[in-house]
Amino acid sequence: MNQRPSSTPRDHNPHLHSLLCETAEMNAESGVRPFLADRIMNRIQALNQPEEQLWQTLWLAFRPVALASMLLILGFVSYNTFVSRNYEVEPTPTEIVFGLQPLTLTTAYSANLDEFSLTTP
Amino acid sequence: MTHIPSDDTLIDRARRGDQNAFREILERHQQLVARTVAGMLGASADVDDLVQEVFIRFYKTLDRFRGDAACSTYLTRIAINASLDALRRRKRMRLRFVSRDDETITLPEPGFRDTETDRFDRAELINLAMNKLKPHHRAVVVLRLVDGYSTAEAAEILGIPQGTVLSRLSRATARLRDILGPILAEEE
Repeated sequence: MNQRPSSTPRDHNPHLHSLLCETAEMNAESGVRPFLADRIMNRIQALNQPEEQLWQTLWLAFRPVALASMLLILGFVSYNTFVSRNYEVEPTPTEIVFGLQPLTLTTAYSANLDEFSLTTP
Repeated sequence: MTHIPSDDTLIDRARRGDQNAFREILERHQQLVARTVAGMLGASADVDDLVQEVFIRFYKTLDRFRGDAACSTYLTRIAINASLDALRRRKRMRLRFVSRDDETITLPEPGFRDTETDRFDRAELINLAMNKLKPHHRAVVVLRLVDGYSTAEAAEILGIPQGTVLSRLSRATARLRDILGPILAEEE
């Protein structure tokens, strides 16, 4: 049983106090149906299940697509990394991963990036 | 010797997904929560649903429980808030569907005995008298007189100053004494 705070109010009628406690206990006894803990745990398990089931279903249904996508992404990143080795200006990691031309003061204000080729011939 | 884990240990385990730990918290505190909710709602079929609701809310907010207050205090706060919400819903339903005539309390003839029937009659009168109190006054009565929390703890649970707790308690007990005067006099 949980611990009850020990302090008692000073300005109350002890009979009223005992009547209120007795009534609350009776209300609780009559209001709570059996196996409360079991019913609550069942509801909690039901709360957890839909999300888990959804992820499992999604993973099972799209596993081939997800694996293929991951391989494709890895391929692109490897290719971009390989290409970025040839840049004269050192690109940032983001530019390497996304295969972007390194941004310099010249290229930022240039209307045509081709005029300022950053790759070695 | 069997080691009894503290509430904080059980909460930590429950946070990590240990449902047995949560069940132990539940079994440890279900009587406190049931008494609080039953004190607020009276003899009602809603008590069971609301007790369930309190523990579900607690489970959903386990990550937010920082341990500043005791687990029992935190659960009592959820129980009081859920009960106040239920009383508000009940009031709205009553205004919409039930006669607005004031429920009158008929006190029995003096001479209560300690039989089972008399205990039920007396409990029914106490419930009717508690229904006459405003929900926020009822919350103070339940916390102070039924659950036995101190003024400071009741103030913390309700998020109000201690002075307000004392004034609400004083008004509520005066009202209860007015309504239940003959029964209380008889008990004395």
